[in-house]
Amino acid sequence: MKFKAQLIRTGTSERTEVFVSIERKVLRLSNGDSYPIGEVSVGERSGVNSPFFIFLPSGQQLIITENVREFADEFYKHLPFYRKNWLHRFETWGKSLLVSVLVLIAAITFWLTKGSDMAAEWLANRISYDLEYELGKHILSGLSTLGWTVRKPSTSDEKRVEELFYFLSEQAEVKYAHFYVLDKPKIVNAFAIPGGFVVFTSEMIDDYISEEDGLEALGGVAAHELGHIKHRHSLRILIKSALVASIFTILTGDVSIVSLGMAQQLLSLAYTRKQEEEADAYAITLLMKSYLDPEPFIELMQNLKEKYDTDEVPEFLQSHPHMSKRIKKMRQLMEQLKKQDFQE
Amino acid sequence: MSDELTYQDQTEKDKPESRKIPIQFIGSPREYWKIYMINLALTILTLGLYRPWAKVRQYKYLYNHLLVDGIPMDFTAKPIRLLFGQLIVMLFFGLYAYSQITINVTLSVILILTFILMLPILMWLSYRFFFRYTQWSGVSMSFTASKSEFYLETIINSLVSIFFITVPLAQRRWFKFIARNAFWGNKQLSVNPSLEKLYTGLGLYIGTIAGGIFIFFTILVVVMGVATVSMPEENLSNMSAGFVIGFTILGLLIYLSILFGGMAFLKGYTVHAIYHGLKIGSAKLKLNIKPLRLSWEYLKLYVLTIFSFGFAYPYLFAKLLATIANNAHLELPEGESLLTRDMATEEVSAIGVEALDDAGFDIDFDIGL
Ligand SMILES: [Zn+2]
Repeated sequence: MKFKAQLIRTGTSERTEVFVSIERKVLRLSNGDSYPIGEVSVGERSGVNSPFFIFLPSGQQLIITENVREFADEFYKHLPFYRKNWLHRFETWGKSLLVSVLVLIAAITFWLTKGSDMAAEWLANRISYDLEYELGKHILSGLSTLGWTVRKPSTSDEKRVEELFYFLSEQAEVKYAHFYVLDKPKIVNAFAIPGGFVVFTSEMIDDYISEEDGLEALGGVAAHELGHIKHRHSLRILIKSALVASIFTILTGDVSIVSLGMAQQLLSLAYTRKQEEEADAYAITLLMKSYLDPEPFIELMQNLKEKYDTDEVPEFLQSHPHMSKRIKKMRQLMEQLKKQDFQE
Repeated sequence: MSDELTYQDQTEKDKPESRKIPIQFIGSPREYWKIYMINLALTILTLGLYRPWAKVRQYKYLYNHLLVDGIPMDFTAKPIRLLFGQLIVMLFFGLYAYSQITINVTLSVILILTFILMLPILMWLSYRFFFRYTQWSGVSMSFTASKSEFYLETIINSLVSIFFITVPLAQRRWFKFIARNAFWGNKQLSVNPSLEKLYTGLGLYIGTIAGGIFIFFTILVVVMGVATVSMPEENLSNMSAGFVIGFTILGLLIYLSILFGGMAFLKGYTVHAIYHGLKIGSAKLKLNIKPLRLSWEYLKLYVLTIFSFGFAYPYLFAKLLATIANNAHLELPEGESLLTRDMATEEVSAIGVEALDDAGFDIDFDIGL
């Protein structure tokens, strides 16, 4: 079959009409020229009827716009498999869209349910404690720019909590542990920042220290935060949100989410329910290992649960709807550990 | 009606002896939509690594199906160059993300300032990139403005646009500048955007928005008045929740229609002003479509894109391109030829395109549509 083509001279837009045919792996032009198929290159094509741009070894261009499908059949027949324009074939295949969408849905489901957590954990385990500490220091100094003022403990009550915290952190054998107090905003809260920084609000210390077993209860909160540190939960959350945000940015080209995502994560540090339960279990075990009674801590949680029914939930009560379950689980673990102790 | 007649008359009178060079878009919006979606899926699957390939394939589709004088346009950029640009830009944004995680204000501010100061350079690179890799009939286009010239022009341009009413002047100046520095081979481009059209677009934009807001508030006042008068006290409080929701949705729809209506006028008239009469050497581009009709096409693009949550965009865009292309032709004075010599030399970095794209600027077809 003969195909009409435009032959374009090198270096100018001057063109002549020629006819092309393919005979025994050779491209024959009606002007007498001929080129072996292996020596010409073809521009990428997009679309079934997309024109052919053939670059000849002489530097000239051959453009075919008519009967391109027939030309494609004849042309690609003679080429080795790796030159068969697979992308174009995939795009023009009838089921390509369906297949890509299904694969995509499967991939996204995997990523959202397992993938991002796995990746974050994998990455977190590869970050040294020293680097995590440096990161934590930056975050801590950055808190002031959000209007949060972090300081060292100063009152005698605060120092008592701090002392208990350091005692527990020694028992926990974490590499870095630092205790800070937050005056503003005035809420009952405690949270852990990567690098072993644990922050209690002065509001919380003031509220509970004067109560009966208040110090022990606050010790429980400290043990819970140490659980987050031991499991590197906050680091994992930061990495996960960074991963999600950067992927979103790459895909959509929207940078705003990066900053938005980070600030939000920092303020709420939304641990998963599983992570909270891990920290709870860790707290109970640590308290009992240190010969402290977990009961006041469990009661503090019970108390806060009733107090804060909806918004402004303190960090360690974040998975609020499941509070009763968490409290129950802690009680179970406590009984179990007591029994073990007794048996020994 | 009379508008169309007058400028068709003009066309005939201007160049009585001239050759018509046809322009046509032979692609199918449906096929383009499919290719766009497949490439989007592949991009997501590869966590963005495939994006340069996806982009090039999309451009290729639009370019290769656009025939001028029976010869398809070509987009000749290599995806691998775009990938390199993308990696550098990702590094920059990664650094920015890091400054945000660590709440390092100094670093963030430095990075943002760097980006703002670099913006004209990135735009310059983008223009150079798109012209350099646009080819027709074996000859590439080029953008010859120097970096400093371009930088200065962006500053002047933003100063002129400060006053809302002078925006058309800035636009006119800008597109004249771009065309003056644009070549197809050794043929220079030139434009002479009609100020009348640019101001009409701006006027219709302001008018639509002002009128829309006026109508909206009139309706609001009337409805509220009727509701207060006709309804007993206790019913009013019961109804109010439904009313608020209904009004919010209605208000949002009206707001969007007004906004898009205004934007469509602005875009339609601006595109017409720039492209109708654009010259490549002595060949003159003619649009056989009224600015008002063009605005209507843009309105369809905007509104349907929003209502399809963006999914219909590729389809609509290809359709718009087809409408414009199939209603356009080049006019070449008798005796003149369209021939040109290839002048393109070195490769151009894709960093500008990637950076602007990642920052949400849509420069891709700003040169075009
Ligand atoms: Zn917690």
